Amino acid sequence: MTSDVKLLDLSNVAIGIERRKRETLVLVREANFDVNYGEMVGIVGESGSGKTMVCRAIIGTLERRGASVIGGEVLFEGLDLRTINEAKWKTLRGKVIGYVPQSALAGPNPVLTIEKQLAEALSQVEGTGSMKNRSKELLDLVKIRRVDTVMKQYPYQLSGGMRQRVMIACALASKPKLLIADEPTTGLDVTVQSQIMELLREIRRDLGTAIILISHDLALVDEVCDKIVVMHAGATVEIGPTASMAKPRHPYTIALNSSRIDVAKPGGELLTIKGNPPSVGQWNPGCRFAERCDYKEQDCLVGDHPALSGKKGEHQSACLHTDKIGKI
Amino acid sequence: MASSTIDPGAPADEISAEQRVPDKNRIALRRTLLGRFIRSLVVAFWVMFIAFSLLRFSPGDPIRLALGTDATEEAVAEMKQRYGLDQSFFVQFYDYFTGFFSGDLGTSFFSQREVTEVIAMHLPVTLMIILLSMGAAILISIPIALSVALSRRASITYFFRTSTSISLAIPGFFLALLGLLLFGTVVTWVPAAGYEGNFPSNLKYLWLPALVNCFSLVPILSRVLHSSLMDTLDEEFVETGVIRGVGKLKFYWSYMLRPSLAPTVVLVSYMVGIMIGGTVVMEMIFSLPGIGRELIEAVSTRDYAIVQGIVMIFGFIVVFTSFIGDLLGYLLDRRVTLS
Repeated sequence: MTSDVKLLDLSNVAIGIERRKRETLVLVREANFDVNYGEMVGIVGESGSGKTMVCRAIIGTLERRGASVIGGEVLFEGLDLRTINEAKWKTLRGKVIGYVPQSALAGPNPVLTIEKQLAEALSQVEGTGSMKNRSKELLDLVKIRRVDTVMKQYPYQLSGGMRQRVMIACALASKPKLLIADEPTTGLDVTVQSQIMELLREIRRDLGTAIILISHDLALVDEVCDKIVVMHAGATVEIGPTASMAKPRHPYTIALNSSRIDVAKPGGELLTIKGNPPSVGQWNPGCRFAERCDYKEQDCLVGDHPALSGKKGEHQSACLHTDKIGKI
Repeated sequence: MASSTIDPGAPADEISAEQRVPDKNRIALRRTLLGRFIRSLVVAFWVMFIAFSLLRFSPGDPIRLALGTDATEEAVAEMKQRYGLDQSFFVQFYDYFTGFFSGDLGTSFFSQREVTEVIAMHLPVTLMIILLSMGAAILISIPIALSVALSRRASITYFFRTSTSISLAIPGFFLALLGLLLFGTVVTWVPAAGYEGNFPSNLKYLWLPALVNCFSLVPILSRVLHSSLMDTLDEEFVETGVIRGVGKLKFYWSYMLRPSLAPTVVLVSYMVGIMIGGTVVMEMIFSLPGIGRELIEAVSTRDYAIVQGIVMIFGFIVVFTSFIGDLLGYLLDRRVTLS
């Protein structure tokens, strides 16, 4: 593992979905970020910003939805994921790259017992010992108690938090180098949410697994991640180390930050971001955040979406007027 | 994994509140099944009662119909007494009810045949048509629904919807006549009339009526299954199956069909009831000695014993199949409740 090869490196990734009459709807156009070995990266953005699509591009499940990567590069340990065939995907997907799905409640297969699902995940990788013992170890790892009982149960008999633990256990079966957790705490209550976050943090610490944490909750990502990627309308608009992201350099991140409930003044007005994210297929030229932006100028409305400024690996922002930010 | 330094003693969430021990599950299931069974028995009793009372409260006197218009009052009274029709309704029902448990469903007023004998002779033909139709319909519907759902192509879905609508709109009796014309006279693949009762040889009489039934069954079943499959495809766990890399067959079964089949299975079990009625038409057109034809004849002659016996058997079959359907639905997908 040479230091200059990243675990994952996305540059200018574009994702499109084929619609009727052979027209392609572009869902993501400028997704840029990289993940180092053992790093925990948070991706934040409103719904529809393309977070989940980017995930699916990394795990190789775009095709079954009629979508595909139509531009840019997705490099996993230097291997371009766009060029590999299904057979190669099978050696990566669910093995080197683990995935914890978006909705905890619908993640596990409802017609199979937990034991069967763990066995499915485990049968894909080699291991020693009986399937049962390996399954139990996995459940121990995600701190599920009364393992014997849980193994015989169906997902509907478990709480949301438990189901998500099971999903994490399945994803860890192959000891992946990269774990993608797509909004792993959606629909869970706050205490369970923090337990899951704590679990993810420990997995990364103890197993050295790199984690991509997708969330629409900036506060959550702020707490656990080393690096934050902010996405808006299918583009990475800002990326930087968590500490440095406390001083955002993109108007969208600023807006996201100020709409955080935990930073609102008691009794004060809760701020929202004005307008709605532009709908897919109706992107204007220029910066796609311009319509909602307080810093907008004439040059924001023409040309391509602004590219990320600055050096890769440092704090980067895709705004033409970064220098103005913080001065208004 | 065992050497992990994560402390297994740390708190996991909500364990006690949400967990149910499997043994308790099994006991609960047994209790539910027993409850469902008792409920089925109650329904069966009502079916019997209603079948018994239907004709008795409808106009027409079976004795006078049987004896003809010039029968003497004495003969009528004598026959009434022989069949117990001079007694009150409830005494008659009580006799019927107790007779049922000793395998006696009465005798026909006209042919003097035992009702049980009539049923034993004609029910297998009807059941055979239904089984063939249902079996074929299920075997045809599953691959159709699955391939349409997996195709993701709008044009294929459109073609599927249109063709199933057309198929549903064609009346069964019309198709049956058309089929008989084509396969009975143009090519003689099917005997135009007649029947012989033994299993493999009777198929040559039954395949066409079963096929005609399929034209109305397949659209219904495949559409219900297709829409369940589309719902399932949208679910997150299908993605999980793809990522886990499970084998193709296992994926189709455990990740697509099994989570989608419950509504279709329950529908099939209810359709059996509808089919029993629909088969009457097929029996008439193909002149098959099924039980539906017997029923129609018996109704027109007010043959109480035959009518109530057949209606009751129909009712029992419906009660039984819907019980089995619910149970199968539950076994396929535990989210289905059996309450």
